Amino acid sequence: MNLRVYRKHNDWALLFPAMFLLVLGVLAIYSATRLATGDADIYFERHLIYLGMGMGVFGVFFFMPLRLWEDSAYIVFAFSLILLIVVLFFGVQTYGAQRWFAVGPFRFQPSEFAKLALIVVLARYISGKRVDLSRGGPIVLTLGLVLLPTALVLQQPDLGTAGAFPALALPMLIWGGMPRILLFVLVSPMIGLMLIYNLWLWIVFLLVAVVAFRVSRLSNLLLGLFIACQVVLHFGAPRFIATLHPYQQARIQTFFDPGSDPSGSGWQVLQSRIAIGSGELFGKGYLEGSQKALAFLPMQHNDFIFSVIGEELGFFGTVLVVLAFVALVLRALRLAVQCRSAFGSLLLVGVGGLIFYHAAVNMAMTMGLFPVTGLPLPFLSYGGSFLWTMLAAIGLMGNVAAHRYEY
Amino acid sequence: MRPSARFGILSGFIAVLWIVVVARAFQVQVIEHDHWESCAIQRQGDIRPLAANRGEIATSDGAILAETVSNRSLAVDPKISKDPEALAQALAAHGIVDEKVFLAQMKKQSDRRFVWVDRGLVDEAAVDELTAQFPELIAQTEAKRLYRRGEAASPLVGLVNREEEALGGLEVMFDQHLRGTGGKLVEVSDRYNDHFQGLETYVLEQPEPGGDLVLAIDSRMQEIAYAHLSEAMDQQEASSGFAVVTRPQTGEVLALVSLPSADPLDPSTWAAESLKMRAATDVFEPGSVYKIVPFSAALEAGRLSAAELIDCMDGEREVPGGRPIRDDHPCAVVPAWEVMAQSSNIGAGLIAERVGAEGFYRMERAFGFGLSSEVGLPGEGRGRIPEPSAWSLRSLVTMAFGQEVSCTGIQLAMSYGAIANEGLLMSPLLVRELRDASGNVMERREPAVVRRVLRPAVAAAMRTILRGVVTEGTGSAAEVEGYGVAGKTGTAQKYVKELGRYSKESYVASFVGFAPWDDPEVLCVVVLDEPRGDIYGGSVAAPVFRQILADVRPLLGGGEVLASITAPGPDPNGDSHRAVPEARGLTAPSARRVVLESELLPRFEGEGDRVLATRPPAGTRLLPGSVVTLEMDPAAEAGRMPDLAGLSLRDAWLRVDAVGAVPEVVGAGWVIAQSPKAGTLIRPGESCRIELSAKDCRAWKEFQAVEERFAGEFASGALLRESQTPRRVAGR
Repeated sequence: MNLRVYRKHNDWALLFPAMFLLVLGVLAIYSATRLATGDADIYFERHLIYLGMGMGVFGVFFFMPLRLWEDSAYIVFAFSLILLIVVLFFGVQTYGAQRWFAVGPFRFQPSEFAKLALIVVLARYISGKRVDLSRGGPIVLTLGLVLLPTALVLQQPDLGTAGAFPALALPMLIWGGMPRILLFVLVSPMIGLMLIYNLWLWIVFLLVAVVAFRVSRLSNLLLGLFIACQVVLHFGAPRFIATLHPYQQARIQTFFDPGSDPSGSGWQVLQSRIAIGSGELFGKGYLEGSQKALAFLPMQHNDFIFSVIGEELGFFGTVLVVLAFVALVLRALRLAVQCRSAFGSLLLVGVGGLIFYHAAVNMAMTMGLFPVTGLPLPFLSYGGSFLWTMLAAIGLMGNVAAHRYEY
Repeated sequence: MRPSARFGILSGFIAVLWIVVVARAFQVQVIEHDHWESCAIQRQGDIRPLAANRGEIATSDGAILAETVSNRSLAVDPKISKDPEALAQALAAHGIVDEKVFLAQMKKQSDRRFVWVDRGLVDEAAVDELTAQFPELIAQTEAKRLYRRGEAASPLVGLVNREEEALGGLEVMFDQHLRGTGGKLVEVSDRYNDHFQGLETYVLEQPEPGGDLVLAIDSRMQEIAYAHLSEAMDQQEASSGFAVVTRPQTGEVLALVSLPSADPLDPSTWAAESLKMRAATDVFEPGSVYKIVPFSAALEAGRLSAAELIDCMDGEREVPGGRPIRDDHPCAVVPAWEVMAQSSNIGAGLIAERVGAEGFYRMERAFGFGLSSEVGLPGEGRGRIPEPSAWSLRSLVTMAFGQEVSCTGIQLAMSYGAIANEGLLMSPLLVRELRDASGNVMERREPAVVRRVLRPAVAAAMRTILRGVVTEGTGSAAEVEGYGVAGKTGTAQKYVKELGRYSKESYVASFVGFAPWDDPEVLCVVVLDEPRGDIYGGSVAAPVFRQILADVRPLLGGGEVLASITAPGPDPNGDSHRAVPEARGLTAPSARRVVLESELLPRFEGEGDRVLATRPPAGTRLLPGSVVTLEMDPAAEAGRMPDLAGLSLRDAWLRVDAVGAVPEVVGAGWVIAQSPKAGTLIRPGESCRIELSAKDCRAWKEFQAVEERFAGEFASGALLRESQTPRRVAGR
């Protein structure tokens, strides 16, 4: 471990937004735990403990030689898959899904570990000298690596977390040189499904597809085929859903159209939008949020921490958070361009994708743009294994950044 | 693909998504803000009506007859009380509850969510401190209508009950103006909604406070009139009574008292009977005070001169269609002015016959009888003045002395006002200004002339004649030394419908007059209904008139007091709190008075004649309208009998009452003897005897001296010559 490298090349532009978000998170959680009834709960103190311990995690990932990761990538990945299988049988059930290992007072979510493991293994595989992502074999293998943890997490079932795997893989595949139109075709069924209750966004999506096919100079026949599939999906899926049991329908309906279920997740989003919406330009002031104070926000210290910020700091606070994430992710991409090692470069892109996915989905969810998925907001949400994952991720990025001029 | 191209794709993708997020945030937070804000209000709380602050009713001298203050009360939610012992201790420390009793109550009602601790409390600071300390305490603010002048003004001002409904008086007449527009209050509750009263409240829509009224009434005169009238009511055991004080030149109503009157602090007294302003609502047969009508009509028509001799038939005259008409003071042949002075019914009838039915009727109407005076009080009567076509053969003669017609006290005040005011009838002016809540004048009412009733010369002659009533006749008890009262007594038999004749037991005793007689500045009507014992206006109503005028006189500065007062309402910069006065040792009525004067509400506790202690103690600063509990001492020490020699009945009575003794009164006038003697020990409740006489004291002798002087002037006829010429230009 060469500390001189860290002194010389440490990238503060990457670390600063993360630090800012962590501090904002501490403040927001403090506020979220102050209710009008005067009952303060334990989450704030716990968060500080998690954060303190998380600094150790950050240190480990920041200073551990990258070579170790590269060498043990496949073992780490295999280990993470085993954990995902074991949790299906021995895990603790919360919110209707089997996600956790419980050891004494500590809880550990193996899917968090699996996200990092997938980034490492993809970076290792794609950076291999003879891998060409425009050819069939590597494509199938890469998709296999992504689909394995995705499928296992879907079994829990945890749709939001499962989505994180393709989401972080996508930018890595682009970075690794996979043809863009192929990526587009790969993700299009998922997007199409998500838009079955939103006709206008679906039409926009089809127009984007037309442009993508034109840019790639693919034949109109392929485009027609693609659009036909989308149309069948769009109008067929609801009919298929109609043949399901009512309770299954209700679940799907709620997933895609949260407003239809006012007492369940739709209720949560509604409360969240009320909180954010009543914030206006500059918010109600720190510690002054009434939706928050009256405990109307669901999991306000955790998944809906963004609503607290939106209510108390207003549009100004919202934009501040967005800008911090944009700065962080764009800096990661910038560093990926500079990075001389392909493995490090792919790590940066993967971790950036992971953070980006969580942040975007969480914010979209709290503002009713996206179904409630139970994804927390990086650096801001209440601690636990997710906070540690994020600290590990930023540590890893910092590590790569410091060594970006090494091969 | 080159690294920069890959960077471009990914950052472009990122940018697009972030723009979507920011755009959404802008939509939700800025564009749709109002929608979500109202959603938040709906979800976070119950919207309750918020009563507007009712406006004030103030008098021309700046006193406030009615105002609304907020009153805080305290309740507890036993279910969420964590430490009832500590709460009980804290409440007991502030003197709000008894610790043990409260604890027992808390245990018994531990499942309930709302238990009153104290209503109509309390020290503002204590409430704030306690509610901050104990979340289970529920502080409620209730608007409380305060009537500072109590029974003295209640029939005039009216009342507002707990439901904010106006009962009687100006509260009813100006309800719309005083009431204001209600607002909306949000009572916030959290998601679990398990607090009785919500976690906090805030105002969603500000109520618009009601406007204020400024009356022509002078609060001091109101109190004076009330004090004297109520004393007379008690003495004479009259069933009801009223007094009106006006400024004849403007028609301003300076005092308007009606009895019995409701006690604003005691809802059990709020009967309609006690909220009637009898001077406006009650129509009665006026009796001899109505004799101004035949005299005015005959003088105006030139068919009478004041010195002309009238044959009063020795006090008995046969009139077709009924019993003969009799005079209480039979006269033979007397000058016209003495017909009035001795109140000869026969003489009045003869004078009425000189102008005939039409002339008489025209004068009645000219004086405003039979028409509403539009003083602006609820249920105002018009009186009944039949048209000549409906008259019997004896109607003209009996109407001449005020039978077969009826009128209100206000009408009497206004008609005598016309005589006092050079013949101009004024409209009664009770409300001077309507102001909005911030004190800006919305409407100002000016004195208004209704019509000319008499030529100034006739008005002057009438004043001279009425002066004679006081100096020479039945109204002698009305004279205020050195002031020169003119007026007329009235002793009307009440008509009993069931018997179809006039009663021999029930009378209405009245006196209407003004002073000084040659340049009147004040006018007063006193009417007592069904006095027991003495029945004559001259001996029942006239002394009350004298007492009122004597006390009112120094307050008549002339000119308009109104201009000098500032907008009513509490001084925003000043300390609005009031100190609890020292009331220990005082009798109940005195204590009540000192507490009320401090703008606090007395509440008596325990039996006894004297105040043992007050709660909170003297000097404690409270908001106006807070309740002060007066603990009465059942074992009050014996006092000493005061020296009452030469005092008026009122003064003597108050002094005897102050030591707790019960006075037994003999006679009328001024105190000439008392028993026990001054300085003797006397226990509360013990009776003492006060003898009064109107003859043997200094005041009487002075009175007689004045009378003699005026008698001389009358004999020389100087006054009568003077009355033929106009002294003053009318209509100032």
